Amino acid sequence: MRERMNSGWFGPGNPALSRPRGGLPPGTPQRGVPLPRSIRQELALIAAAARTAGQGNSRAGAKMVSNAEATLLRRATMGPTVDDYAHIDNIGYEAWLDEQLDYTRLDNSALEDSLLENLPTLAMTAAQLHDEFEDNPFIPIFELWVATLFRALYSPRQLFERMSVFWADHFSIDIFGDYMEFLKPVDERTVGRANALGNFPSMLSASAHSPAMLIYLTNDTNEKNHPNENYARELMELHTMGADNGYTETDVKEVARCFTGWTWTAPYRGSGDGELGTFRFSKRDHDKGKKKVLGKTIPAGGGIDDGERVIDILANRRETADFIATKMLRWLHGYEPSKKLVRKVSKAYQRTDGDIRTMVRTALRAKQMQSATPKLKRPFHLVVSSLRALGGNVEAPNRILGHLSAAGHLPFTWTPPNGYPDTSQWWSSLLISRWDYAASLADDETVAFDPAIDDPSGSTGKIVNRLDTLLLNGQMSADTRAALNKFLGQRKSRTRVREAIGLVVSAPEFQEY
Amino acid sequence: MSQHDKHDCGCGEYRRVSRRNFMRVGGSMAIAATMPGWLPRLAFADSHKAGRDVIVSVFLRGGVDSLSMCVPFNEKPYYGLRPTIAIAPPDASGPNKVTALDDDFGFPPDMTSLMDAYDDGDLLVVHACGLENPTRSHFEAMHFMEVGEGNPGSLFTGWLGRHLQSTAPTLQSAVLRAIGIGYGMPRTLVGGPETLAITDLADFGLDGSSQSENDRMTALAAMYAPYTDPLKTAAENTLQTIDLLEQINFSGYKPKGKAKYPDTDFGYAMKTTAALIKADIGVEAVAIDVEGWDTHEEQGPATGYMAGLMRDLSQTLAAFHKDMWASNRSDVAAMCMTEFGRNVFENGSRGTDHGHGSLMLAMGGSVAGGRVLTQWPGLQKNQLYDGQDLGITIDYRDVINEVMSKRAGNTTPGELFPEKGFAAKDWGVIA
Repeated sequence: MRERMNSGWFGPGNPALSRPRGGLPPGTPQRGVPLPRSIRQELALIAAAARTAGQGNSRAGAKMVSNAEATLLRRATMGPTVDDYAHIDNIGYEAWLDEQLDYTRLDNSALEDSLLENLPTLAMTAAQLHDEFEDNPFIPIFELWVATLFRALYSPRQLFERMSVFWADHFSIDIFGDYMEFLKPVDERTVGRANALGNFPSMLSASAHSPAMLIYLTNDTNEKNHPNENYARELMELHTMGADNGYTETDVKEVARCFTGWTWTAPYRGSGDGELGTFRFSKRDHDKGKKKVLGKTIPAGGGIDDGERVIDILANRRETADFIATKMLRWLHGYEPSKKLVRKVSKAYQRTDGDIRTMVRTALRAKQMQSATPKLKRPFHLVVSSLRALGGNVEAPNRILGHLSAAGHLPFTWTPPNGYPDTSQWWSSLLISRWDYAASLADDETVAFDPAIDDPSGSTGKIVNRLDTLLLNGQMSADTRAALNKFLGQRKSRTRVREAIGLVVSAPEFQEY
Repeated sequence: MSQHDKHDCGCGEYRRVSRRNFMRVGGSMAIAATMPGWLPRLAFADSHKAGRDVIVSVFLRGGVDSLSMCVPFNEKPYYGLRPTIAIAPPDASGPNKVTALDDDFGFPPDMTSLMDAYDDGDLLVVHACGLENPTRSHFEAMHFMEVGEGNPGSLFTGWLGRHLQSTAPTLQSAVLRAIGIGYGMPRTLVGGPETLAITDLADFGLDGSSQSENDRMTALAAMYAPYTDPLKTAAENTLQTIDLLEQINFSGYKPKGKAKYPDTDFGYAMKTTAALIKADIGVEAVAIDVEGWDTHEEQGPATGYMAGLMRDLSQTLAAFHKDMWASNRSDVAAMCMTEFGRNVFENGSRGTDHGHGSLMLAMGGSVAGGRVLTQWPGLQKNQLYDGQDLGITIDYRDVINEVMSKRAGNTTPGELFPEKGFAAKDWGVIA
């Protein structure tokens, strides 16, 4: 029997996946180490198949869409393309939003087929992942990173992808923890992505039953005689009601008692306990006594229903509606949403029993978008938005992942359970890693562009206009324009134009959205 | 690919080589050749003669179990409530026991690397110390401590950021007064002028072709100069710091006093910090996070997780002590703090859940060390906080305030900890 060696968030985690100094992601093939399988060629195929017709190839000029439309595109996608501007210009604000909210009608089959064909771990169960990759735990992690990057880049379901990032932070799990290489890929599928524009209580319940979350917050050893209150506390503080918002220390302890026995089938357990890597309720370890949570009595002998009841109680609290509404508005609208707006979105939650689509629609009303103030892109957003705008073909995703790592934003590797911050204060002081990523665009080994994009022929003004249209929808500042004119000057070459692209991606107005 | 530098490996090491080439082209190589390997190639004023200590603020994230880090070995409840994770008293047989610091407290085996610093009188343990607010939330507690509050208030900037705001720089021309080592700005430093987050001091430069580097930096400066904050200031600081750190050869840095920093994140951060302080470029404060202390499970202060964490902490601080003191640079004050302590009793997972009182460590040439400073509240049932935790008898702000006012030139009362009704006490942290 293998001894459990995990210690909650901040835990040192799986020795096979130790986080090397300097933040280079394990599993990101380094110099001299061949990529797993022939993944590089396969990824190029995915990119080609996934790119929708015409994306990145449009040569139209900047679209003079309304301020609200432009803000909506920036807020509701992972970065607008020239085609996105043209599309919203054609169909209008409301129709565009409807289309994104009704995401199942947006055909992403080409992308998903390619991903599933080339990244087989995306469809494997925890048991399969465990059995097949016990000696190569980085492969499922690497494939999940690549899929996350490629979906953000190429999926037509852009609002869905943007919300998936939001939920991955809301139910944040550090993939470097013990067992996470075979549990987090399943969690990502069954919690956030399964409900990204669905129903919040369902997502909450899925998370509570997710072995990845139970282990990450050490509920798997929460037992009747010695309750472990880690999960109970974060469930209320981070997943539902918000810190210091209507519950007491006694509630934390009582919730912990309700979740005693909520665990999983670990690889070191014998067969007969259910499928490896799945949720398991251990009746033996459950506290059968009566509990009282937030004033509500949970009668003795409830078994697994105690935890289910808690999820239900928490999902129906006004504090939960307020907390999720506030956080969602910070994500979709601005850092300081007004109380009035929070109330509206919270009401939408309460009225619909947590229907995320209704909340998102309320948050993204056109009137509101007009008053939204700029937010700072987080590094993942910066990278994806630049590649979407440029229509680049990612030749070496491991390099992109390396840049995300250097910027401190490799997906699913934030250690504490509160998710990557969504604040300018945290991210604005590390500009150098953004500029380094942008500089890598000068090197054709990371991303390949359509040759029309880095074409050095024609006047400087023409080249700068092209970059402005592609990356900034014609909103480039006079200062950036002047700096680019000077930089390109007389020395125009393909490399110099690519460096100029890097400068636009480094520019202050491109850091915001 | 023909014209620009080949960066096919995408690694910092390669880039440093190419930057060195750039220096040669730029004519700096001749100067560099006459200087000791790692020293800066610019002549700076002796900023460390300003009579102020360089502050190193270490936040141990997750909630340190103070009863394991500094064991109260005369307390019967400590042994009674911790059947599997207690550490035996100093007079026990076998290796898994406490090394006494005084008659009541001692270090577990993995903290003993710090005995030299302790015996030299440079290391102080402040026990039963911390944030008096009752919260058991990591995020709330860390926020209160980093902004410098005891209770929910409206502070946004960090106590160390405000310190930098309210004191003149030790080096008038300093372009970098403080750094946070990590991927983002720790709240502790928010508001500080000339302050940056840096992930690796040895690798802070602009990627890409060295031939176009100057042009690209010029363009970046021009694009950001008219922009709004926080991006404008961050860009200015970044561009200046690239030039500055380029002068220091961190990778060739040789610690003094036979100091050996462990090969860990924290060890590396402190080693490069030592090089940075000795380079004397006017850096006044460094903030570093060490994660991993939320030991709900398999805490194992003797053989488990906490043992490894404490080994890293103590070996790193001990190396820093050796290195700096052997270089006559004991004008530093390192403070280690954490958001809360942990329950007195162990939980069902051989770990401990969130508690209250914890401890702080202070190390520096002016620290009145070699002792455990405490107003020990006791561990009997009726002495516990909330019936389950070590109490707090020394406010964390008292410790920081004494260091900052006596050793960092912060003479404005209430600047760092403005909360109404709070008046910092001196406990004799500084000699």
